[in-house]
Amino acid sequence: MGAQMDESRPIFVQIAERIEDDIIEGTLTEETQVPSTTQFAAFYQINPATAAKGVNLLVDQGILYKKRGIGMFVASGARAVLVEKRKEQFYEQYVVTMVREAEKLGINAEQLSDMIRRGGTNNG
Amino acid sequence: MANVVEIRSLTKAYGDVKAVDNVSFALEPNRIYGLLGRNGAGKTTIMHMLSAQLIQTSGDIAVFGEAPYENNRVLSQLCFIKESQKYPESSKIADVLAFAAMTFPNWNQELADRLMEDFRLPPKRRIKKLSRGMLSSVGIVVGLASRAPLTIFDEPYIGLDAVARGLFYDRLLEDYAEYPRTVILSTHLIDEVSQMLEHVLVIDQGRLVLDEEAESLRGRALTVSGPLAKVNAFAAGYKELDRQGLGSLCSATLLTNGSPEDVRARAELAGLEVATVSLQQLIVQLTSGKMSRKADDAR
Amino acid sequence: MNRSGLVLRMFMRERMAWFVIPWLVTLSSFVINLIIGGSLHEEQNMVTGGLASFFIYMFVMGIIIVSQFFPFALGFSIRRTDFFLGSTAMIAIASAAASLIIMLFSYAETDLTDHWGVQLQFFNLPFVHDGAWYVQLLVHFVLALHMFFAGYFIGMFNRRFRATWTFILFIALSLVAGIASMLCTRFGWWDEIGRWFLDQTALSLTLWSLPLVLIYMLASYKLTRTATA
Repeated sequence: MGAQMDESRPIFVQIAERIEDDIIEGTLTEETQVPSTTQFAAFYQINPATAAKGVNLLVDQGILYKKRGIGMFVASGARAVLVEKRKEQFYEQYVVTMVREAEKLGINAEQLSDMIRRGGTNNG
Repeated sequence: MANVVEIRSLTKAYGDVKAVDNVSFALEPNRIYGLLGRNGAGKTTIMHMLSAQLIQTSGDIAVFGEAPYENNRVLSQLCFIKESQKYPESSKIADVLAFAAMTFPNWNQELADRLMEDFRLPPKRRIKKLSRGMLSSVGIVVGLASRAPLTIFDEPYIGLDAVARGLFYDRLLEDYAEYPRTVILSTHLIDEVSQMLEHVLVIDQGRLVLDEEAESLRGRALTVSGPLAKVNAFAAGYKELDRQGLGSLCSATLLTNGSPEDVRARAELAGLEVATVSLQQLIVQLTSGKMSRKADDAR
Repeated sequence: MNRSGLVLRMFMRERMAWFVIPWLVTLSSFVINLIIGGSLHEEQNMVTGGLASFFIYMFVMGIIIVSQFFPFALGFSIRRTDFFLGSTAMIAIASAAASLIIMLFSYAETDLTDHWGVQLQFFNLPFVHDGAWYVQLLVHFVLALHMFFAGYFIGMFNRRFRATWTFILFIALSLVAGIASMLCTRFGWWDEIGRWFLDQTALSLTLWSLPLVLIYMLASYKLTRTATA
């Protein structure tokens, strides 16, 4: 059976995110063909219309483009655009929340950057 | 394109009991619909009336723009696979398929042959010698290979294991992608099919309680909890599906509208805790609350 | 393609049930009679009612058609009307075939084998076979039709009104029969009725039964139109 989707968020958004992930991680390189809507539908066991909606979301953003009669391809420069977008999201999702929580706990900016550095070494 | 199905104020009554109570909906062409609800909610009765196997007490049914009763133009375009389908006991599987090949104008024999292999059905086996699961598989083969413009599956997988059910979903999506048609999937195994659905109709105690796009439902249902007054203030603008209280604390499941992120942010700003609700949780909540209330009434 | 024709083709796939099994049943009854006839060495011809097993089979087919093939066909998008017409065509073919077969056996019995060499009258019955060959054909054709639609009607009545009402129907029918025979006894009509039957030939009885067959058929059609899966 297909890979599990999160049923509390629209599936087409999740499809778009998975394609984005593949582009950022380099699984899908620029100017290569993206699986067809039917293949997405079969793999994730989702409705083809939903898969198409996810793909079209990326077409609208210029990440994918359509070659008539062949299929969807990753646009040149798509990865850079996505990385930029993700950095923006990263700031919104993690940094802002982190700083807010830090303020609540009385952690000052210097202590915070120390902690981040420590997290980096532990991970490395 | 015109609607494939239009139902208005459809009611089926048995004496005082209304199995289907004033149900209206419309189905657009070439989409996959989920007709969901608990066992005995009235789903099967609705589908029996759609296919003119049962005659309604009142209300109008139009399938492909016409009344289906004794109407070959409608019936030849419609394939209804139901759990309770009877086959002549002494017939072979091959006989059943041969009849299906004659009655459904879009029948595809290659697909039927492939599905027979997929589901490991022996064509020469007689119906009375088949297990429950094999009988279900025969229905699935007929339903898919019929390629009927309106194909209805009513709990088609009784007796089938998870692997065989997965095979059914795979083949359905595959063939649907290539040959789009209007599909109604009726089931209580909501979590297995919800990803495939484009539109959801929920029936509870004979009534239509939800008629929405599946994608718009995902993320729109939230459970907010916190002090009663705050929950009340926040819930005021939305449709409330369920509520549970614990002293002065309360949690409410709401069907919100607008951007889910915004709603979430507003709820958090109001000091409420927010939890997401999946499509199947949402439907379970929609159909289970009334059940316990009914039990209370009975007492 | 005409969808009544599809119903006919569906039945035709069950060739065994229509054309082989009923004759196996009838012929086994025939063989038993043959053995009995062979062992008795009677002076007179032995007349048996073994042929009735074929007509009882047709009655049962009427019931089976409704209980097994009707819900099947309805579930496969067949109209009720087409089911009825297809069934009627099927029984017409089966009845025609049956009356021909009976006539052939009857010819073999009287003209070819001299009652199978054992004085057995199985296919060629007195009274029934007194008339011309086409009368014999008609008699068996109508009788087979009659039996089939009696079964079909009872099956459809049961499907439509369920067991309770079928039970009530039978009680009502036996009540009517009981009251009628009481009246006959009370007013001394039996003699007249007996005389009327004695005056009849196989042909005239068959013709008298035609309206009855038509009523069965019409009632069957009406019930079929409102029956559900």
